[in-house]
Amino acid sequence: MGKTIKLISGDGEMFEVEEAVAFQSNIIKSLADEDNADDCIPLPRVDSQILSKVLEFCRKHANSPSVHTKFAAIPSELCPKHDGSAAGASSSESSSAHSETCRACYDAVMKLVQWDLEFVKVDLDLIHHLLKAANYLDIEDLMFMAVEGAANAIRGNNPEEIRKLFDLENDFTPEEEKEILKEYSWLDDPFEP
Amino acid sequence: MGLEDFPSPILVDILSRVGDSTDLARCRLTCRTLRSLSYEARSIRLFCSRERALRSSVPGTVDLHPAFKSVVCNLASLLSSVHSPLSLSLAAERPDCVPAGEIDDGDELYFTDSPFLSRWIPLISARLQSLSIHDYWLQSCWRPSRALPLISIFCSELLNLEIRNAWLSVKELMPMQTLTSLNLNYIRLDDENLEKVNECFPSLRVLNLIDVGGLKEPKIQLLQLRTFTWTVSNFVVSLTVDAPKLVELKLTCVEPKAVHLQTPLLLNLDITIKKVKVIKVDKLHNLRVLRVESSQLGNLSQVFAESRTIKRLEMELYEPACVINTEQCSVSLSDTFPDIEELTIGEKAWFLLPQIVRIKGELVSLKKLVVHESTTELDGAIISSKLSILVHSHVCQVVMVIPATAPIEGRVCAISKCINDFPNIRWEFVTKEIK
Repeated sequence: MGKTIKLISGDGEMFEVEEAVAFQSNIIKSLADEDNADDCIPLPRVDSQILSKVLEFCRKHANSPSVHTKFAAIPSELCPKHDGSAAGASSSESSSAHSETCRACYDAVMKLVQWDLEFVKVDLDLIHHLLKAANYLDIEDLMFMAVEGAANAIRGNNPEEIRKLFDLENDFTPEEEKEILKEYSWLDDPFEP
Repeated sequence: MGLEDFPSPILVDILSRVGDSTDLARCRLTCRTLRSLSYEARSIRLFCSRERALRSSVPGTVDLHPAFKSVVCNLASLLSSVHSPLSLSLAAERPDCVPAGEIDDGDELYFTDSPFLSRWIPLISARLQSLSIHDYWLQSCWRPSRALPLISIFCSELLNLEIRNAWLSVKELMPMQTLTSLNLNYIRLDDENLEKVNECFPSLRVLNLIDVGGLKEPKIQLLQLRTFTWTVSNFVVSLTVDAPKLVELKLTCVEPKAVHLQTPLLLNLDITIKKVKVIKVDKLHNLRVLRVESSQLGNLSQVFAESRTIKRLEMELYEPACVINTEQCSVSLSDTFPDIEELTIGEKAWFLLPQIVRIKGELVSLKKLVVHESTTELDGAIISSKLSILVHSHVCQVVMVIPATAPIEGRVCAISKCINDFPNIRWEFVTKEIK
């Protein structure tokens, strides 16, 4: 093992991991850069169960190109950054011309994406905690995939199902509800809410 | 698991990723927070299937099934009250097959229709960073659209534009200084030499012209262009690319009379071209990766390889073996590409290998070889003799792509002959589906 970092979860458990794994978190990286070379880094807002899941993700991503910027390992003139917008499809097509150059990188990223998608196919409670942890620890790739997990849970579901999944309360007043239904009826096909 | 625990930016991230307008509309019905945040989604896609379009065109059902175009306009008016940047994508389901000459004179899926666009684009133009319209060819192919000029007037801050399956006019097109990415796919363009494109999109860094017809002597002259993919489906008189910062070019054409490339910084070139009479290429000092597919493999290789900087080469014949002129297709690898580290041979080229490749001495830098076998009757002896032409002392890795339909016995035989005859190589055998 190379240089390691010691992390302490909110419930007092100690995790020792390689720098490359821990430094995926920009927060951990900046905390470690300060003088406490031998001390442990406390993470009071993340408990051990979640931290171990986060570290599992980071271990997998430690030496791979960032999923978020698809071809991060290749010089930027050759590989445009994936921008995730609606026109994202076109930017990935323009990068089909890149695929010969970046094939190895592209294949590695695709494999990683598949692993990530399985990783976030978990219950929503865990996604909730992963989103919070990714936000708190500032881990770009984990945030990217946790958002994907949450978005996937929303897709194709009706409003009642979405409310159940995310523990939401229907807080519209009866007047508001009428207004929204009217708005909804001229927005899209009628659907029984 | 309260979603309210999350800061709004993360909720907006999630809603942006959901993207589909129907899913977002359902989110709007859940609670107040999601309703107001849904308008801030950064990326929204509206998709109209043919079934949906047909449903709303049944007479007397307008109240039950609002026309898709009204849905778009209504959504735009709801989105106009928010100020965050927006990427919008509008797409019609593609027809299963497009019988030649068939048209549909309906309007429900004709998205590049300017009266339709002028109803909603101005409402959100201040927010729009990215716009993508996939039109319905059967309704758009028979009439020219003023979509481009209209977008150029209203969306002066646009960064990315994509239009597919339409007939586009460029009359009165205004300059779009901020546009860095343009994607035209399956378009009839009334700009036969691309003059208006050059004039009005000066800041383009990424350009894709895929199956853009209506061109005669097209010339791309763009100072900022970095990446260009150009597929020319009809016959043009000449093709010119003048792009001083271009790093990557993928060009596919059939038989233009002339090709001019003024792209001194090119790193990566992928060119598929059956034949050309005149080809002028400013010396490519930095070219590292070349893929060339042509019936004039010999000539073209020499033209592109002038600077001897190429490290990765892929060569393929344009036409199958029976048709080619072996003299024009013959490549002297040791003279033209002495420093290559990686070589890929396409199916048709591999089939004719001994006749189209000349090597004097050894390719001293060659480390990796990729070959595409096309025959299903694999003959280990023939494969081995072809490989011995190419596998020199420094080659350490060979990838052989074998058709999926090759019978297992022949495959095993060929593989074991390869491994026996070339024991110091790291072998990889990959199966390829026959298209």
